[in-house]
Amino acid sequence: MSLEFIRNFSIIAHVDHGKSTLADRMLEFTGAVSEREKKEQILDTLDIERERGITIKMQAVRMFYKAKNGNTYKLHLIDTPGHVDFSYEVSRALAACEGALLLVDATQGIEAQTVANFWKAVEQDLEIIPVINKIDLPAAEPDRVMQQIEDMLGLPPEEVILASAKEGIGIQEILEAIVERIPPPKGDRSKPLKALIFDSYYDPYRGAVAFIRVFEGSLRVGDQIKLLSTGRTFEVSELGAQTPKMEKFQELSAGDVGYLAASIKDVRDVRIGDTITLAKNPTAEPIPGFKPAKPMVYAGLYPTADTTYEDLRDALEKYSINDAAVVYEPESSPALGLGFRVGFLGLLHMEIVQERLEREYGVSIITTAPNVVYRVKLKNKKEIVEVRNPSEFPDNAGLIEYVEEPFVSVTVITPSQYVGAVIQLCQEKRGEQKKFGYLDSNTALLEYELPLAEVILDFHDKIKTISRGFASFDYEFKGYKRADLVKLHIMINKEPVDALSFIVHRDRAYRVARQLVEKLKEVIPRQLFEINIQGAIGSKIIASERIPPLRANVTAKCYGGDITRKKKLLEKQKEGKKRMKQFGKVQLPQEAFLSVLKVE
Amino acid sequence: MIESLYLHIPFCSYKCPYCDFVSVVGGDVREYVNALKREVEFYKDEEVILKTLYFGGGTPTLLKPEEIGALIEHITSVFPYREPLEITVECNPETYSYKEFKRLNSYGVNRLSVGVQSFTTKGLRALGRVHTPQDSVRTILGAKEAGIDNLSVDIIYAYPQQREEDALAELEALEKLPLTHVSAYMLTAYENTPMGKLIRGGLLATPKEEELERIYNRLWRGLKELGFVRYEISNWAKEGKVCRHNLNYWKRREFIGLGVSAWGFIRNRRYGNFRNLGHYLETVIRGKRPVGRTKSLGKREAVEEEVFLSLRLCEGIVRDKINVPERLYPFLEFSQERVAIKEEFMLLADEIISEILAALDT
Repeated sequence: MSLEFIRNFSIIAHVDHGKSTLADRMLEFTGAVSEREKKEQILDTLDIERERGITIKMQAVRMFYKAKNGNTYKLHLIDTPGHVDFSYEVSRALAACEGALLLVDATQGIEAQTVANFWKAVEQDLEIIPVINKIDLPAAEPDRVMQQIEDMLGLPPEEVILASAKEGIGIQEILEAIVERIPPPKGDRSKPLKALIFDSYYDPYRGAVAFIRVFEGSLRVGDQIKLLSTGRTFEVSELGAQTPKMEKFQELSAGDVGYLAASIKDVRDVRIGDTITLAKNPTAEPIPGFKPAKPMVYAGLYPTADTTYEDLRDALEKYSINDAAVVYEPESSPALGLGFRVGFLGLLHMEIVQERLEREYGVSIITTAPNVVYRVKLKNKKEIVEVRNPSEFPDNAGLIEYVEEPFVSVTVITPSQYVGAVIQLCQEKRGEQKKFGYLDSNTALLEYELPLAEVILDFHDKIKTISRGFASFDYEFKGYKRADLVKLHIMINKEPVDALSFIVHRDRAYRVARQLVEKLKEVIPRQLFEINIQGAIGSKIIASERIPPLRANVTAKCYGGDITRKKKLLEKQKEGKKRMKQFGKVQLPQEAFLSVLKVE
Repeated sequence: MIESLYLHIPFCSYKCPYCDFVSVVGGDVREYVNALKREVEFYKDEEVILKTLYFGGGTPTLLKPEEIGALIEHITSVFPYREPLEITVECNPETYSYKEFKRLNSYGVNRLSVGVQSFTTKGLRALGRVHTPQDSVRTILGAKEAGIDNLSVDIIYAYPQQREEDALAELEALEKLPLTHVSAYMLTAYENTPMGKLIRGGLLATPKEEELERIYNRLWRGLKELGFVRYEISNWAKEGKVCRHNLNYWKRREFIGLGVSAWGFIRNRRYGNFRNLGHYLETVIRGKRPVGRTKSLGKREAVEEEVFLSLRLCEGIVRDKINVPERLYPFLEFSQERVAIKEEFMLLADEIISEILAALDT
């Protein structure tokens, strides 16, 4: 098929604005999935899942559309990950397209994620087709939303398509607009192969599977390919496209979108944003924009209860086969024993990983409070050290020349009555205002530069609380900046607990220390000994609390009939103790290690 | 060899709000006594030489002395026994007096455990008891006069509103009476009792920890001064007067349990009778053992039991049977061969024992 009849596009939308419903309608409309097939399809997928224990993602669906002009077009709909931690992955998916549908909910209006992804699409030079969805709902305000789109994004109202994916309104209009407005891909099939990896997953039969967009040249089953970032080569064992089932082809060529398998054992070899070329006749230039996955947030994961270090290692190994974004290395903590320092793309990613490890791999874990990666320059050293664990942060502030911390650009969209609260929150979080404007008379957009450390703490919860759930936000990594940071450490009975140390801005150190020791006093149960909790910077104590020793824990009578019951009671107390971590004489519960997160 | 037998008498004239034993108000005493006699027969093939017999409740003294006597006679005719046979009957202060005790003594009862609970009106009210301190004194003196020399009382401390002075009042009463044994229990708020529900729900306050500690220290030090020697968390005795029956529980010796809800321990298996009186009677009348629950102990469970029961005793446990975490040393007393919880830390026994049990696992 000539390039002229291919269109590659994505859908940009905030969560719940109707992206998957619209995708489903398009598949039905183009006949890729009939109503009857749809059911079978779902069943098919479930069977495969059951058989292989994996989920096949709908990453890039191919459909054919016969346009009003009489021509048939090959459309590739490329999915984008839905949450804020994956902004790099979104940018790579967009890089595989020439255009994007910007989908906005008629009842909600523009939200932060929409704006952030809109600008990513503009950076990629994509043709943008604004669509207002859910116009059938009684609360729909298409005029207001249209005004927002014009004012905020500069897209003229006459370009906006009104639709209801649920009711099937506007679907054909959207398909026509894709054909008419989005330019066909450019590319030369005779040039050396140049293809972009925009997503991947692990399949126990195929190995790591890459979703690719071919920009130049062509690729056949049996070809030796080379991955430019690593230089590794593999032989292509399977090519195809999701239609939406996995349909095999012998060839993919310039302009095409599809998948590739090449018996690649490790999903880490298939790096998102990497360029694929042929080993024999490689392209000279990689596709710009590749960044090796770099975790932004680290936390310690330690086995607890009956889970052993080996159990946790096995679980992490298995889990990371399917998630190339997770990195981990063994670490040992005086307080927690042997465990792992694990890197995540962001806090949500961390929560997902934690939950899946516990649910799918059956391990019990203690997670320490997450931290960002600091860059520390010491006075007597040339190089800058990256600190991934607060316990590695120098205790002696005198040795430090400067410290840098990661900053992100945060976009907040909020109903105007909450603007004051949002500004206050951003200021408390050491934010610097970059932009402030109104999308319409009711909706404000704010852009702040904030330390990532502040965002991962509790920004998401806070912004939802102060706006009663109406404000939305998105963030993107900006770079590193110097900051006056100090290491706050917590001592339990005079011994520093490495897993509780915390990097904090000097101005906030006292307040944070106070709150932290109070929180610890709340969560640590009374024990046989007095427990002293202190917060300190270097050797200077800045906050302290005391937990008096337990005075009574006894069941007074235990005769013949009580023995079995009494045993159960002691068993329960014993299990509670085993779940805690022994630190010197003191036993610390899991909550203690998360109390850092509870600091305001 | 089984040396102990326990009989549960579930009848009470009223139900105390803190009590979690199985008891019924009213009920056919004769039918029950007959059932007990039949139940005895179920065990006649066991290897038994009785050394202790214990009537617990409920209120055993709601039975006539003759009924208790008949039971003793029946039991001693079925099982061989060896003197001195310790026969204890639990007794509520408002039930028996000199005459009944005299008859009881003639049937062989040589130990009485009187459910005094408190020698103060304040304490009895707080605990919902209907008798008076004078009733208790009269009962004890009556029993003594009738020839029952081995006399024990139950005292409950940490009841709502109790203060250190109140503990002193208990000690003053104890000093004046001819007692050989005291069981002093901290009030336990069992969630299946009316008082337990109120306490756990925060509607009824028991003494705060500081006060509790003062009451407790006052009591155990006072008992010591009166010549009572502690041998278990809640039990004190004058020289040679430890309760041999109860000691057998803590030393994990075998015993037969008879009656509704009673537990027994035979051949490493703990068994519990039905808790429902009707169900119990029906089963016994049909000629079947009224056992509702049994639990065979594995090696591990047996060791854990030994650890927690031995540590309730002042003599403690053989040192090399446990692995004591170093941080617990200040709470323990070590002798050549044994280790025990120090008397002043008995109030923390569960905390210490559960730590020792946890250390057993690692």
